[in-house]
Amino acid sequence: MTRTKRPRLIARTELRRRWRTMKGNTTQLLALAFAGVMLLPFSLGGVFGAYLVGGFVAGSETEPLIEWTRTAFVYGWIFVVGFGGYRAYAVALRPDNLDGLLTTTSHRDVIGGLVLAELMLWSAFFLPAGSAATVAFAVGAGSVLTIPALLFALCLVLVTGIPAGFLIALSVRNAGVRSRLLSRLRTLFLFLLGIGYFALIVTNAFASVLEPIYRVLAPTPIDWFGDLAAMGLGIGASPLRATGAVGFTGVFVVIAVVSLYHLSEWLWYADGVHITHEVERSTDASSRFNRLSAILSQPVFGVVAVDWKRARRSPLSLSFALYPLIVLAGPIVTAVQTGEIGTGLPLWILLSGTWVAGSLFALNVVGQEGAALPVTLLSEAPERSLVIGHVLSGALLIAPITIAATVISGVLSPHSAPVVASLGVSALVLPAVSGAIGTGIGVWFPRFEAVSVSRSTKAIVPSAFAFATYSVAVLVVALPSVIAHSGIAGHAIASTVGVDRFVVGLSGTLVSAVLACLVGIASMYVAKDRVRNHRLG
Amino acid sequence: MTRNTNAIETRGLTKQFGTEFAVDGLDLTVEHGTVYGFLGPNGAGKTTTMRMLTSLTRPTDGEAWINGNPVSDRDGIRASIGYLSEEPPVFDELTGREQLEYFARLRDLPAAETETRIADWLNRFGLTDDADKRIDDYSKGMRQKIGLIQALLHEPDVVFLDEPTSGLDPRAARTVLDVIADLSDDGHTVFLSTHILSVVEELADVVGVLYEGDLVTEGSPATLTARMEAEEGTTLEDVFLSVTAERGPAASESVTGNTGTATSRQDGRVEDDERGEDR
Repeated sequence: MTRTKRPRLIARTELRRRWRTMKGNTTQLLALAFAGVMLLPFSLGGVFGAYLVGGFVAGSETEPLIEWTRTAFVYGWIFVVGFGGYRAYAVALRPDNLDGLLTTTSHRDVIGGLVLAELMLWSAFFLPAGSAATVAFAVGAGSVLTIPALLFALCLVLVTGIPAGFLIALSVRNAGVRSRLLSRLRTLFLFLLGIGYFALIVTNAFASVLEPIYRVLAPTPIDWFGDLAAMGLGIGASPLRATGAVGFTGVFVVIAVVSLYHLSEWLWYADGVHITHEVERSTDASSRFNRLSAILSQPVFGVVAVDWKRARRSPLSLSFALYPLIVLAGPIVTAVQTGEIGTGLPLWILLSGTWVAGSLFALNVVGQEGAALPVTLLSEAPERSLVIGHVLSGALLIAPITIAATVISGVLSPHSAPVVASLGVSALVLPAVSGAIGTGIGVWFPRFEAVSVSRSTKAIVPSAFAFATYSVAVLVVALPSVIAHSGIAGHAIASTVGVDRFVVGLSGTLVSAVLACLVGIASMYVAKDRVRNHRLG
Repeated sequence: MTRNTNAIETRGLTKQFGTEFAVDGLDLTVEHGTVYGFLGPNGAGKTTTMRMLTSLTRPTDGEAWINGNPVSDRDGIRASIGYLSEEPPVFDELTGREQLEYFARLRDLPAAETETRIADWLNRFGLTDDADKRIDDYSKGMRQKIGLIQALLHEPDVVFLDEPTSGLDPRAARTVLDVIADLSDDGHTVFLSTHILSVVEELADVVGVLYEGDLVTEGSPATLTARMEAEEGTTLEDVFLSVTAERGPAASESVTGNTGTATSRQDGRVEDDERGEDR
């Protein structure tokens, strides 16, 4: 068997498996179709744009154009390395059945196959569009030589960028499996990284992150790919640098292959840090639990206590709570950037707090019992303990935080004190009731089986439909309060009706509270009924 | 370094995770053609030992050889071992036949021969009709069978089986046991880890009991049970419970008893005496 035959076989099989997985997953297929539909106009526009740029290049000054080309290729390379590295970390470097593969063939073949699979995947997506754009550009520029030069340069970007991404991902994962600190804080790091990423998108601050990376790479041979792409255009591309780009690719690939072999071996044969879970002393006896135990009935208290313990030990099951936090990240970053708290921030906090409170525990009251469901259903009045318990778990945790954050940000904002007080009432009622709204919606879309939250982690999370429906319901319920307290709408209503802003705010709070209570009670009734009549399939 | 002696040999094999010893100075010798029953309670270090012997995990200390090749030479031992892990190593998205063809190709088996072998094995395990269904749709037993075929397809000299009858119905389990017996008859060495003592009692030529990383007793099933013959009808289960109930000399004492058919070493290992007729 030739040296490349096994990696090619592994790559082919890996792609075939991924395709079959995607074919069997309606959500993924729809997402792919949606992306295709969305990208088609961009691709066609890109091809036409390439034609126009080609025409522009043909009759322009040379000096800035070659610089632009070089810059574009460096940024393109950063993109490939960044996304390639992310995919390697999250997907490619966690092959299924690794033990089976490693007792059958060498780690060199396995890593080779995985890198090759990613290269084929990227090529399948980018080369068709890239080829079309290249031809259009060449036609516009009137230079046939541009076609092979540009395509060749694009290929070299992929051939160096994808392994570079793998190298970074392997280094990160090697550090992760060897560092006790990184292992313990992995979820926190990923959470902060996700929040930071969305904050960059919301604040449009990508350039401030990419520019330092560009400045590091600009003096390196990565900058030479632009010269290779521009050969034949007559815009001042250096043949020496173009040749250097090819040579650099050769050297880089050799070094990358050797490094990939070593890094993958270190990763896959690593023992990993051995984290033993400390003895989990029951915290039921703590003062907070004591107080709750005295107030709540024992079955309800039991559900609340277990919810909190499970959440602390397996926070991934609360992944839907990330979405409200991501939404909230934008206003917070804006406030930090401007140094001012506007009238909108307390409203965003109120809305997000309400949204989070119901999404934590109440959206899958039956399903999240997991393997314990048969026992739970046989307990005394399970509908009462499960539904009320899960609602309280979220409310007791989030409502105090929401009230405090809403009131503090309200005080620091231009809102008047009475309006802040009215907002505070909303922050008390809405997060307390949002869980109740979630229960009835959740029981219609129960999720019993664990799903892959990431490639390597499974958890029972609520259904996406339940979360989406719940999100709309919460938004509708909270809207009167949000509108009544908002700077522009609240002021407009007060002026039109001829009453004080506080009255408008309080009215909004009352409408939202009544709505929330009505919907919440109805939803809990439905949930209790479904739990009471639930039969194991 | 190559040793031309036994199918499996370890000297002082040790695996340490942090401050914990999963396997502690394991000395083991398994001759060619032997079925070695590897017993031990949960967490005793059986799977860690198997992972070291199949080169999936590096030993912290000590050495091990498969067919004379050190396990550190992964490329050297890969062709001579087959491994069925506790969780069947299968790809859900492939069909049973595709899975087997894939691993046969990775092992560079000749295509025509592969086809025949796969057909024979599928037929033997009653999987012919389901061979072109996706493994996703297989029962646990069917997945286990595919995993076992995958481990045996290249006819390895030494086969490591971790709970091979787990999840199988009695008929399928019987087929697996017959296969293991046939492997032994054909001169293959089988290193068998299981909790089902009757399987070991039936198949194993030698039994080793691992407890907290130490090999606390070793010998043929008959020899071990003979050590407790003070009670009528002593079984391997009695031996197992005895040696794992309390670690150390007390445990080994209870096995060695006073009949003189086996001797206990300082570390608790039981060795056959010169009669050795039970082997």
